[in-house]
Amino acid sequence: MLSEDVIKSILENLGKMEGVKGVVITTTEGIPVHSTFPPDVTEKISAFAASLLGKAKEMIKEVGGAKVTFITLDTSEGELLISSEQEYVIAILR
Amino acid sequence: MEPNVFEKILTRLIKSESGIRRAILVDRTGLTIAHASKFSSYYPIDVEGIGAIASAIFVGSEEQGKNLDIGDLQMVISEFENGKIFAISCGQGVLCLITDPDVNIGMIRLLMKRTAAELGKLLDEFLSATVSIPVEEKKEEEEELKAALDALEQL
Amino acid sequence: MPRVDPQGRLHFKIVFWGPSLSGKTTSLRWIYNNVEGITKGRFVSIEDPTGRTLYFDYTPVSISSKVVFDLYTVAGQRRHKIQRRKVLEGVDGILFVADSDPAQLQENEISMTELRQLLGDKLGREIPLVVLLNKRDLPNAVSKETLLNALKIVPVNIRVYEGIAIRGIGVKQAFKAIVREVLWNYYQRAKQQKAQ
Ligand SMILES: Nc1nc2c(ncn2[C@@H]2O[C@H](COP(=O)(O)OP(=O)(O)O)[C@@H](O)[C@H]2O)c(=O)[nH]1
Ligand SMILES: [Mg+2]
Repeated sequence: MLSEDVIKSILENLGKMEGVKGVVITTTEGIPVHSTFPPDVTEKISAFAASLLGKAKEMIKEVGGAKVTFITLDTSEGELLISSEQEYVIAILR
Repeated sequence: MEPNVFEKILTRLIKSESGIRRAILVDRTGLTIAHASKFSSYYPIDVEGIGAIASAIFVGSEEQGKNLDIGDLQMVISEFENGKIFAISCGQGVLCLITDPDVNIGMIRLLMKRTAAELGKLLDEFLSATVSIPVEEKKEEEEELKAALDALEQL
Repeated sequence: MPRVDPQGRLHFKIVFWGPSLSGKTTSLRWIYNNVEGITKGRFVSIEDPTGRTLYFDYTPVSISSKVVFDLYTVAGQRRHKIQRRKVLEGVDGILFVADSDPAQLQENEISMTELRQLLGDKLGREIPLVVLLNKRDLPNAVSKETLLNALKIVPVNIRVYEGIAIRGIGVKQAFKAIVREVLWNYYQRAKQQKAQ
């Protein structure tokens, strides 16, 4: 399990980032462990972020074998950043 | 109602996320209503027996929740060495998925909740329709009952 | 009420009821293994490591293409009362398996009382009841009258069979009787409904 300290340090680092609207930390199985969003939104972000990262890793492995560290999604209303940390997936909205 | 509407929805569900092996829809008395699987079964699998246990486990857990006063049961996730079983309340029935061990649990939960809402309505419609069979179908049913009674005496 | 599955088959649920160790599982297994002419699914049991039923045994059997009987046994031990009530959900007929062992006389009574409490006056009317007095081979078996008295059963309006489940004696007759009653019961009620 992700310790309180690790979560805290992740959140602290994020706090230093500009314009962060919210964050969800989930397991690679899509189970949320920390979130600044209400439950229903958290559930959706967790499921899709973990799925997306899984797919991206799969794809990169197929075509070359490098390691995926970060996904950026640009939307009309901001960015969604997805990164992986040990067995966890971190989704940041900004 | 279209005869294989349940199978269609279950098949769609299986295809919508990787790692789902099969889906079973049962009612709360243990009757299997529909079933779909990813692979045309390589080994014979007794769907009705599996459905009966799936229903019983869910209904048993529901009862446990009542006894402990912790509210309605939404979902049961059973984790096995080589797979997982998800079960969710679905109108008068229970929807079950059997998956690989390493699936995205969050995604499966999300998909199941959505499908259960859709399936639940159809299932309740189906189950309530079967208690009032139209008169013209009664004739056929009478024949079936007679056939069964005849067959019984041959045993 | 039987249920119709999406393939259009009628399903009747028959539950083998009775106190712990009276021979319900033995009877169902015997039917499963020995009655010829039935089409059957797999035999499913939820039991403890010593072979005692924890929740139920289940097997679907059919004797004609459009009618299926879902046969269940219950866990007889007193602490499994909630499981029994769950298995009873949607039941169309009861085969009560009574134990002739004198030490079990009171357990028979308790089991029948519980059944009556759960089904009310539907038992024996809307939900047919057949009784199998099992273990008649026991040298000290209680008399038929004593057993029926304990069960408060009058054999005039309820079919009673004496049997020895471990040898398959009386089991098929009792099984056929409950199936017949379940089918007749539904047939009559369907006809009445049509007449209206
Ligand atoms: N002597 C005798 N023993 C029986 C008979 N039927 C069942 N048994 C035994 O009674 C025990 C309990 O049987 P079981 O079918 O498991 O009982 P259940 O709890 O009602 O399912 C087993 O040891 C059986 O072998 C019978 O007709 N005569
Ligand atoms: Mg048993």
